[in-house]
Amino acid sequence: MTHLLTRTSSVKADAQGNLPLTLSSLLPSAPITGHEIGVSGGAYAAALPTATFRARVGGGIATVESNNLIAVPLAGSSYPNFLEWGPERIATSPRMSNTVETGVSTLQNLYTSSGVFGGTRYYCGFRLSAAGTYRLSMDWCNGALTPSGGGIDVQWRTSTNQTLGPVVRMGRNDERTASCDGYVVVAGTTDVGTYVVATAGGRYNIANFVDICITVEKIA
Amino acid sequence: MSHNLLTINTAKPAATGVVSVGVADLADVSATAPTTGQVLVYDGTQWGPSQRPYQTIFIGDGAAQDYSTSTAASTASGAIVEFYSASPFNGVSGATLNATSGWCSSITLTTGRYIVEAVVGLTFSSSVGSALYQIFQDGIGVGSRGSVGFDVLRVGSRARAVVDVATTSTITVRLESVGSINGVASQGTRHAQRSSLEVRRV
Repeated sequence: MTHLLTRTSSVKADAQGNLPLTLSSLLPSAPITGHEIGVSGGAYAAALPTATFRARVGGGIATVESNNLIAVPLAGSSYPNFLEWGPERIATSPRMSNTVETGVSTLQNLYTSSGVFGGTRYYCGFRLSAAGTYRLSMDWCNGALTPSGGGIDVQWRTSTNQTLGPVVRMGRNDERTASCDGYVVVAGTTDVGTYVVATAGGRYNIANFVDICITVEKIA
Repeated sequence: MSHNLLTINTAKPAATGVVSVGVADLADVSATAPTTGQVLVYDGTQWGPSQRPYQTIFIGDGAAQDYSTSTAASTASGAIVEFYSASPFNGVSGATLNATSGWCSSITLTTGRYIVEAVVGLTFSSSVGSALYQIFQDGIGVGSRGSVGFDVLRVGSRARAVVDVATTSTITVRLESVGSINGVASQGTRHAQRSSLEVRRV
């Protein structure tokens, strides 16, 4: 009896007729520790998990901001009450940095013409364009112009007013820097932001941009 | 005629000559049986089942739901706090939310390590009213306590614990050191609107 000279991809049968097939040999490239098997370009391939990433807005420099009695919403009738988190840039001066990921972009209010430096722009939300599940988190507080005990109640929502987490009161910086968290499952492009539920005595006044950090994590 | 005696590792041909190969028959795949929700991860030598790297539970969608609609029997010290969400997010393999009408009284977790965080928004009858709360694992308090008071600014403190589960554990949040707290019937909606319970597998 003879066995056939069978081979699969680069794996050949040995003299006893055994084909020592491995999972790694079926993949287009060799895996490394921590790799999972996913789909890339229509074929299975090993890669490090991509289900988690973090986009961020926050940190920065300077102090003193506006003294509005109400929070500034994102411009446009579709987003009547998304809190304006803080400036990416005022005129030519950078204020808050950000890191972006594929599938996550920031929503901004633009106050001056874009010009060479991009103009004065304030962050107001995120646009999530990749399907999946996201964890949303905002650390924020009001500045000293908010009276003691005052604050702004916010809640993560979509632009269609789907509530994504609890209502959280953001107090004055020396009384209460709070975290507002939420979860959203995205099927198509979805805009999310922190909806102003009530101003509750708070004034829109940022004490220090380093008190601000807003993150988006894609968790599935 | 004889059929070909080709084998693929432990998979041998049937009488028809067909070799039925499963993933576990492959030479570099662990013999450990997988469980629901696991994925294959390469450890540098072989592939084996593992939990997904980021699994979470999140309860608390900010709904204006009165606490009197929960199954909570009491707001006294030692009472279990329930958390509301019409559509809670549960991405933890093997975890069970024990809920009635959207109110979750406990979470059952399976083997693994978790970080549990809770914020309670219960209300009080006096401006000096306050309560502490803590994560409990199988009836035993673990981790740091959170606090809640009369004013809304006193809502948001987190109870936080790292929980190791050998087989299964029931996680609850319980009240401690309660003062001037409203009873279940007169709690109102603040707790459902401002509370959250989050579990992350780490």
